Amino acid sequence: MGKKFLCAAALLLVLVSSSFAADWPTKTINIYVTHAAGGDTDYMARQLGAQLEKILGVSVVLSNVTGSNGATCMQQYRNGAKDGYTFIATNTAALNGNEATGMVDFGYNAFEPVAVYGIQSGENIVVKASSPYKTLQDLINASKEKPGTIRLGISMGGGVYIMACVLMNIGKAQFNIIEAGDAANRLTALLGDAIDATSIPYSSAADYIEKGELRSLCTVLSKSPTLLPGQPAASDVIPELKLDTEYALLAPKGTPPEIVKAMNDAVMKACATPEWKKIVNDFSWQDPFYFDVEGSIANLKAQRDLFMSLVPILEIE
Amino acid sequence: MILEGILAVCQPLTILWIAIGVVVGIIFGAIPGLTATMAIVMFLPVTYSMSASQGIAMLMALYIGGISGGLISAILLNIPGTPSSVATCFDGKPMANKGQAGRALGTGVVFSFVGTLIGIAILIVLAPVLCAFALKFQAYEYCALALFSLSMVVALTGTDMPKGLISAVLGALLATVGLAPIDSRPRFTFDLFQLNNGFALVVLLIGLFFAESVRKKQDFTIEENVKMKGAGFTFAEFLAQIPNAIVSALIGVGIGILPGIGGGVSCMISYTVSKNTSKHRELYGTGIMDGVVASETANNATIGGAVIPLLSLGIPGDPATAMLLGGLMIHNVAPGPLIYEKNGAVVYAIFTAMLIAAVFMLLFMLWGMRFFVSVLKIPKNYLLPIVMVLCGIGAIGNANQLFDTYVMVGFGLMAYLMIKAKIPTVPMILGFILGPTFEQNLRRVSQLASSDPFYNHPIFCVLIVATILVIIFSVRANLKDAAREREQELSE
Amino acid sequence: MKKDKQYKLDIIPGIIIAIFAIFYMSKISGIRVFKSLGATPLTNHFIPWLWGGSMLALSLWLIIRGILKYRKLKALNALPEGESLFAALWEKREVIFSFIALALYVGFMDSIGFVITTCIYTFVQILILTPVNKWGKNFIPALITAIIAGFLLFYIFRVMLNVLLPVGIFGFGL
Repeated sequence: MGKKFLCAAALLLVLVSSSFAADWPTKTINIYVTHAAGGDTDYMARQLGAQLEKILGVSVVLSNVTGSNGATCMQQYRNGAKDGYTFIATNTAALNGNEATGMVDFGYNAFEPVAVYGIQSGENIVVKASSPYKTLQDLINASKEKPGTIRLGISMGGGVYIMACVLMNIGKAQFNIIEAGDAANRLTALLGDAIDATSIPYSSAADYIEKGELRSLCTVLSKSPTLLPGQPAASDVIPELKLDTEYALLAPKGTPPEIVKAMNDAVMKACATPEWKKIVNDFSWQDPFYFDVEGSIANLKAQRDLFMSLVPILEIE
Repeated sequence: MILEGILAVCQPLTILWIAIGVVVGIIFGAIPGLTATMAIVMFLPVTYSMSASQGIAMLMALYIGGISGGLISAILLNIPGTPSSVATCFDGKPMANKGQAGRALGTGVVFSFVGTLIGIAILIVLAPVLCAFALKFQAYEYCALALFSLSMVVALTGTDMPKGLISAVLGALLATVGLAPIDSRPRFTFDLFQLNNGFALVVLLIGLFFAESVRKKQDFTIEENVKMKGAGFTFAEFLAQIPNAIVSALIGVGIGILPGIGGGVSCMISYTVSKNTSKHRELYGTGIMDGVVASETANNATIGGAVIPLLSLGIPGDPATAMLLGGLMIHNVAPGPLIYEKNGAVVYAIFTAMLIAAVFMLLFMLWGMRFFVSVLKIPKNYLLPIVMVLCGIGAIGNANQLFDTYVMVGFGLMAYLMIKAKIPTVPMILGFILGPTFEQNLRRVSQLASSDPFYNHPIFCVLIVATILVIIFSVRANLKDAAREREQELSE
Repeated sequence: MKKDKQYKLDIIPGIIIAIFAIFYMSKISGIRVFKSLGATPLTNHFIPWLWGGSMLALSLWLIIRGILKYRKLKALNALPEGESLFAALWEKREVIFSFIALALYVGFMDSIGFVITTCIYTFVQILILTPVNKWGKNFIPALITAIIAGFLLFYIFRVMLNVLLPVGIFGFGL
């Protein structure tokens, strides 16, 4: 009796969820963006939302729920409605970085990953153009010669912090580590000679590099953006130094796999259009970059494995 | 290139967007709880699909409208519509109580316009020079600047010093809730992840003024027959305010240039400076034009100041300009040292849009004054509940968090008790804004002190000396005021 | 002299603030200190100690000042008469009810939804601020104001501006 009932219930559940998926979507889809309007994560999510509206035929509403490098939003919606109309748009550096640095105690496994749908133009390690350092190796060697004199500006807890830990502990560099705040503050500090080197997004550094005020030593992406080829990568000097920020769409844990698949199909369709190629070419100097569900999970896992392998050197108690 | 930029803006559609932006900005600024920053946040995604010059023009219009609109509710309801109008309440509301609501509004509007113009003029002419100066401000300088600004608290505390100081310290203390600056360790969050982001300034303000309004409901009734003639004041009065306006505008621009301080502080500092350098300082707070002029000129001049590092360095100074930076980047305009060479047309389009927005702001606000004043004719038992609901929406909308409404109620209760205990609430706002700046830079200084001693930083030393002088001067002035108060009581 | 009579306004807030400051400082030791790469010599405990300590010192200043005022008054035999707590609270009933209404409003907003709670709250708050003898005349206008406010504000902010106002028990197609 009990077994029969369970079977019936299971069958019903399957029926309900499949019929659920068959005519999905029927109403407005909500996407919660983990970072503020005006940033790259928000821009990419909104562009994707606009494309999805065309493909799925329902409206896609994006709301920013910000704070703590995206942790607030992820904390709030990881157990959100599993009806297939709730999604979270974030970036992988925040998702995996927050777990590695101990800001939160959950990772991508706490969600149903839908798709990785883009990659950032990345950060570059930069110095003043008047300084003698031409490569990352020069900078590291110089810091070993005169320990504690070269000031490296970082901000705690984020990708830049992971970078500094790798440079110091694996690269054996001997920098004087200075807390200099977010990317804009680090740029101010570098221009105002309060630090000697730091890592800032290529997009903020580009003008200064062109004008000959700053020099880029390398990108911290695993490889140069497609439209900015030929830059040395930090991983050529230290293999572990790879900070790829990719854009990811997640669903709350327990969202039916059919819906996740259907959403992923829509994302892949959106990313394959020439319109999308123009958007990402213009905005992040990258070519379209996207995966199916399995590929996205594998991608997230690879970055998480790398970050988690660094936890011992992050010295976070 | 200059012509190209001007022409890009002088198109019917762009001008229409500017007009819409100014109106929406004024509404967001005027409604307590909704701020200029929120207007920009909500409309930024709308501009993604516009052309670069249209989108940026609209964002600038929202910014200028939003900062200016705050004076309306500051004067009429004693609730600053945005943090930038906190000091406008000090004299604006007493003026309205004296039946001079129209005059106060007119003063505020005209000098907001003057302030905006001076800000834009300095932006156009002096941007590169001032950027070099802004880069001199690093950890040491910010630490001293925060201290200097905090010393203004003593001037704002009035005659009851311990209570004023308690208020300021309470503000700084509330600001320690959340992730600590620099190392992002949670403090006083009681394991509530919503508290990780700390308390938002706008939620604190909403709570404060909620308390203020339930307590003093009689403040909502003013004389019905408000006289409205032109801007409400004579040309001679306008001329007499010019020196005050220029000093205030310079303070506003100066604070705008330095990233991270913002309009909320600029209006309070310029009010204090205006008061302490005036020949009739005892009249401040009783409802005189000078106070409104100081506050409103400074907060609007801060706009031009804040755009200087935004355009020339790519460094945003406050949440609003951070949004503007995002808006520019999305239209593939990268602010930075090459912006004049690469996107010169866009820069001149921005200047033109700001000027047009300033003129629209002046026209719309002067034209709308009659309408604003009529808000007061709504019976207060109907107006107040609606204002409170709007405050709640503002608290939710700040970060899309319902949790912030609970915080709002808590702050409201706290503020009510403070008012009952005769503890002033304004120093708390200053402490709340400046506490984190002070902590962050003090801790950075502690890291630098061994390798880079303080005497290498002349600006730091000057500011510290200035801080000490301000404290001595303010304490003396406050003691004098207290003595005069006591004499008055005795003679009664 | 008038000011001196307000000794209670020094002592009571002083005590509350002192208790608060002590509570605040008792929580400082539980904050995790960041010790690894780039840690600052002044840790994240320093500023809380500074503010908490200043707060305690200032509250003691208030308490002592209040006691001195009390002594002075007692010596002059001019202590003001105490009024009953209940009478004082009744005088403030409008404020107290307003706070209770607001607390209930935000407390139930999530589960019931913005529109319904706003309608009820606006209506109740209007009545609270209206003298009881004028309730009859204001009943209908208050109801209309409340319903318009609830729906209109929801439409403007939730539907047009995407502010995440809670939808609650009715979906409204969202």
